[in-house]
Amino acid sequence: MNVSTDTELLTVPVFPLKNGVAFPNIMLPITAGRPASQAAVEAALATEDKQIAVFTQRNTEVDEPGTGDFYSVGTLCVIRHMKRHEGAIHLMLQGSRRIERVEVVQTSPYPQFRVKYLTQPTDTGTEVEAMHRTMLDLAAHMMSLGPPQMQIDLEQMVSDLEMPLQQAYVLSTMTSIDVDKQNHLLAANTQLEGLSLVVDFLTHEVQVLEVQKQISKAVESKMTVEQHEMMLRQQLREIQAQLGESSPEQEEVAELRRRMAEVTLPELVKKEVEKELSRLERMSANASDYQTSRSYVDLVLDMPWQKVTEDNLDLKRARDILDEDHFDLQEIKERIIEHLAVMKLNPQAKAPILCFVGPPGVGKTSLGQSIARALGRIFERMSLGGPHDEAELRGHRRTYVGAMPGRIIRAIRRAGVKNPLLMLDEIDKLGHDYRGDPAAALMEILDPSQNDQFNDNYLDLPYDLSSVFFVATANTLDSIPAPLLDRIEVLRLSGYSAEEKREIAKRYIIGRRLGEAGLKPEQLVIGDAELDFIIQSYTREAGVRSLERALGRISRKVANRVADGRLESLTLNREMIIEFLGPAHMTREARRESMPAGVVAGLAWTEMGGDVLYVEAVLLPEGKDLVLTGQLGSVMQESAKAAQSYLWSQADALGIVKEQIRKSGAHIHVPAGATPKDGPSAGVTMATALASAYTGLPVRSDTAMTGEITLSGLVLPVGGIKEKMLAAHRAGFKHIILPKENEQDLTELPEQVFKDIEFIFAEHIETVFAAAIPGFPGAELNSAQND
Amino acid sequence: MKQQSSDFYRPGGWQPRVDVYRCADGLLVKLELAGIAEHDVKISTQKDKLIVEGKRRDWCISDNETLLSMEITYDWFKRIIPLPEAIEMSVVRTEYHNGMLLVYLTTDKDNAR
Repeated sequence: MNVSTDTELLTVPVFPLKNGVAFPNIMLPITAGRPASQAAVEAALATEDKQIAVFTQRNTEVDEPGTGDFYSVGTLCVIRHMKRHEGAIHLMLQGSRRIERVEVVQTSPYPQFRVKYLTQPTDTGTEVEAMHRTMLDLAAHMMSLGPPQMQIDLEQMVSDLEMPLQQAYVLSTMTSIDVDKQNHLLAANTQLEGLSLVVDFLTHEVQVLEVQKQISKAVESKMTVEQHEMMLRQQLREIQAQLGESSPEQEEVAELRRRMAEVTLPELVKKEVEKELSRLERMSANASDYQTSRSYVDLVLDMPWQKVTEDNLDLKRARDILDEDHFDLQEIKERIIEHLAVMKLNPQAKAPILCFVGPPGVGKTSLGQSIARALGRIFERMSLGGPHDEAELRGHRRTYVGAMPGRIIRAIRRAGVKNPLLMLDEIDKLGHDYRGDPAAALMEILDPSQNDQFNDNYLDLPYDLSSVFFVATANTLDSIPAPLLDRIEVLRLSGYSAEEKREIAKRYIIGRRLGEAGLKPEQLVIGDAELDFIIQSYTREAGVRSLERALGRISRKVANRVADGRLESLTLNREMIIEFLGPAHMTREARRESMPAGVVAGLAWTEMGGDVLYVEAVLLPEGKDLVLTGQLGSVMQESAKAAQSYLWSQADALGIVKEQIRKSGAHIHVPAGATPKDGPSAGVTMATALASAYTGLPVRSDTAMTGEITLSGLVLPVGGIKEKMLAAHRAGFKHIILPKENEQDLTELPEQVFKDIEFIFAEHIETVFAAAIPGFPGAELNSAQND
Repeated sequence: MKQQSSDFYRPGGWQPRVDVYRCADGLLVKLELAGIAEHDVKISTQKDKLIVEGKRRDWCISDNETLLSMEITYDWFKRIIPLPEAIEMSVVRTEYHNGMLLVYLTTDKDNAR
């Protein structure tokens, strides 16, 4: 027997251990990877008793630890098993005794220490006993707090170990106690010291685990509150069912069912509603789908699937109503009456889609209201100005949050009948962008052959729009897509003449405005001359909105004075008007009394009605080109060039000195230079301006003109004749030259215009020159030719 | 299980396996103790227990031999074998055959009385 005694010093290879501590009597599986530790292991394996000392390294970063890098107390271990695998040595060590470093024998190629044995502490006593029990209690507590896989049989595990400190060693390897503390435990020279170290750690650990548990419990309890609530709800339902009561949701569904029974629905719709209702019944009111579903059913039941208003087809009455509401507009009234007649004879006829096109304030919208009144239909108006999204018209699919039916369906719902008069206001202001073109949706809506199956994304059921009377309004047709324009019947409302405005003011506006100001008709008397003055000096519009505002203003001022007691009643005169409305501010349209050569009055058509435009031409000595200014569009520029070319080519016949054309450039300017202008209808005007400039003969100041010109001097017809004539009339022109082919358009004009104006119809430009420029050289000859 | 755990934590390294036979004049205890040098084993009796302890050393160590893997335990061992007869026995003789240590025991009649 060769047993070393406790006092003997021993020289052993040292295994430098990172992140761990070897304890006596505890198995420790380790892997030797580093050269130093492998060399130490090899040295140990080459001995007959396979002993190796394990010391923990203080700093885990160091790969080749020196003397100071080790804890001074370690454990002498015996290699029980060894296996080499892929360059590393895997070992199973069994700790045998505590040792303390006495001397470092070498550090390279592997550390080797001279060590002495330390005795295993065996102190006992009440304190040790108490500490021991505390430790076991804490350990048991800790295990119970941990995850289930941690809960091993502690009792059984420690029962084999007699010494309390030995149990402390085992416990320390099972917990997350840090390496430094483990080393202190190993170095403890009394059981009491070691035990209290472990107890301290366990106390801390248990506290952390307690808190951790509380946190997870709090999370859990949040969930269980909801589950509890749900359970209670379920019970409540059960109780209500047993008592024969119904829940609020069921109450709601029952209400919807009652409503469904009251209305007649198409078979398809009925099925859909049934489906939705039975879904609703099964749903809790808290479900996010519940409200969605409910409001959908609400909408479907609200929709007028069958309900219609009876059309009043008394033509005489309809005519009276239209006349009552609107002055003149004979053509449109005629068209409406025609339609009523058709409906009377053929009730199945598809409703037409009318579109009123005209300047603002001429009564497009109110005309729609009148038609509705005449027909006895419900009037619904929706403005299309703004929407640039197809979904605005067609709705969103129900699956989207905040989905709504489109404007069409909403308007029908508001109307509450299947056949309202639906006014699509400002159809030309319809926007569009990348999200889709609402005009495309309008096409389906407005096509009588397919709108009986209109499909709204939200409603998701075909709805019959064919009995809706659609009336659209627009200021201009330019921005309406052609395919859409193709589906509607355009009725033009041109501007009113001054006489018409006066009539409208007398018949409708004055009465209304006085009423609004609280005045009696006899308290404010406005004569025709004063009305004309207001119209001419304070308004400049095709419609009557400004006029209405001006009259409203006068009424309010008078009302103010009457209320003050300063005035009893008033007969309006010019001075009063200026006092009330301020100085007259409309002078632009006024005719220029004297004009130099090269200036000609032309007539233009704008969205606001007709207008007078002066075209000015001057010669530029030694210039060359034709300069065009005043924001002229390309068509207008080309017609200016055509006019110049014509004059040049016909210079001899027209009595113009060719030299002058060749040697000087010309400049044509159309004032109000900031307003873009385009179109061919100023061709005649520009030709006349150039002719006047070249000959130096001024144009008659009481003459205005319009018409397109060709290179051969023909005068072609143009549009907007009525507005232009009215504008010329307003401005006080006596002679108007216009294309021969436009003669037929004059029938729309009020009689007063014919009285005041002499119309000259021209087929050729020379007729124009002859009429417009007194003393024009070629005039006699050519006018003779033309006649 | 318990056997193994005690093997893990009990001081004294490892424990050889043991067979106990009854024979005409006493007991035969056979211990699986291969590779043990005779002078490294100590046998004693203590009342009704047989105690065998010692140490196995590796003697295949020389400069031109390297261990590639190792499963045999070279360490202290101690085995306390309780004897079925609750009487003191004494060792008659020991034999070492084929890696097995045989310990013959006989009843110490004088002591039993």
